Amino acid sequence: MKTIAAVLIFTASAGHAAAQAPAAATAAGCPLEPVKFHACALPKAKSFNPPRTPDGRPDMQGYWERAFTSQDIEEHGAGFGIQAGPSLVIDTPDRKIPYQPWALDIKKDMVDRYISPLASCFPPGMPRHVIAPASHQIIQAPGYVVHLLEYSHSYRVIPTAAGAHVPSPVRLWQGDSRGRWEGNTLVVDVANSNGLTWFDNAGNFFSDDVHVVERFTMVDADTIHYEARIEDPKVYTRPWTMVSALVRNKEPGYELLEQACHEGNRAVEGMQSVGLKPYPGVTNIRGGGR
Amino acid sequence: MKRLSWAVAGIALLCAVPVLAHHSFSAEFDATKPITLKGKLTKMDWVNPHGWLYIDVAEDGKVVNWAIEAGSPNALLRRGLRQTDFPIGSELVIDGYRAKNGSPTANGTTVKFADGRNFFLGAASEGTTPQK
Repeated sequence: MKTIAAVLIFTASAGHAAAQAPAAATAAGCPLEPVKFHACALPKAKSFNPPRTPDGRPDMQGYWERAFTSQDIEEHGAGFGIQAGPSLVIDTPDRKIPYQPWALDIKKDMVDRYISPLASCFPPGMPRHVIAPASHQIIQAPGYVVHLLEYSHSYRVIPTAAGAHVPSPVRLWQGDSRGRWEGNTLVVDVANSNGLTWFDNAGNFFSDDVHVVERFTMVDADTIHYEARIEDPKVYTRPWTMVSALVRNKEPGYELLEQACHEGNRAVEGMQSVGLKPYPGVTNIRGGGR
Repeated sequence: MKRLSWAVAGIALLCAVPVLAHHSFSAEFDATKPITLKGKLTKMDWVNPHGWLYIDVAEDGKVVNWAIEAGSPNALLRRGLRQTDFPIGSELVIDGYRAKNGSPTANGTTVKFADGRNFFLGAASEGTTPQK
């Protein structure tokens, strides 16, 4: 195992790269595989007293990395530019997203028909913002949690004094995030999505009626248990939950850099040239859009 | 074995510098058409979301300018690379995969310089190196 990890690190950093941190197969002593991580991390979190911000909240500030890519949030093998990965879905019998039959039909050839919204440099939306391909930074101020993502300068400002969502006709790429603290857990309720983003690059989708409830819980000083409960009666047969570890990036001097995504984005041009179209949202594909 | 590969994927993500490939390569490039290109660097675009190398390649008595997709500038930079590491006129050997649309475009995996330097171009993964 150590040998394989060492080979990967060497390959990824070939050339005159800086030395990388030693391999870690676990986070907070828990396996990364989502069902196992979920079962292991939450009990540990109960006995962990997190560092505090001056206003007494768990201090989650700093840089964070996801445990797995967002190529496909369902279980998948290695492919062209894709690493094998487990399903992030933890609470359906087959660990798959519980699509309604018509939705599963659309999903089957989604990536052959439509350009992944992230490839077009659009904001990733929730919950992909948390597992998108880039580093995160969490900054806290009294009454707010600011969640920055290097990719395409995406961000969200989460008021933690809760409050009502913006009116329903307002539809947003990142949705409207409203937070609250439940003990040591940051709970974020996300609504008002425009339904134009995906969970991953595999075309897993939701509609503009999606409602996401996220839970961020520190398991130790360097690990967050991230959970998102997804509810969308338009698309799924039942609500479901995805889980991922977030691991602190402790590289000295690390910072988020400019990532002006549109600058030279030839990917869209390449995909259009083979017939792919911009993703119009599932309600428009099916008919009867908002 | 399956479990091992997941663990390795996780390890790679936690330890390697993140690569900002933001799209699925199979939508644009053909995994069944690997290609090795030899030629002279004519331009390096140090741009988001992916850098691009352009090289003149001799093909059937004429010269074709190929465009090669690389990793994001931030990923290349965090790997220790700079735009000045790619001087115009350098003789390069690039391994990658051809575009599906048949144009002289490829997704780069590695680049070798005439002086023996050999870099992972870092375009072919959302996370890190693709695993075979």
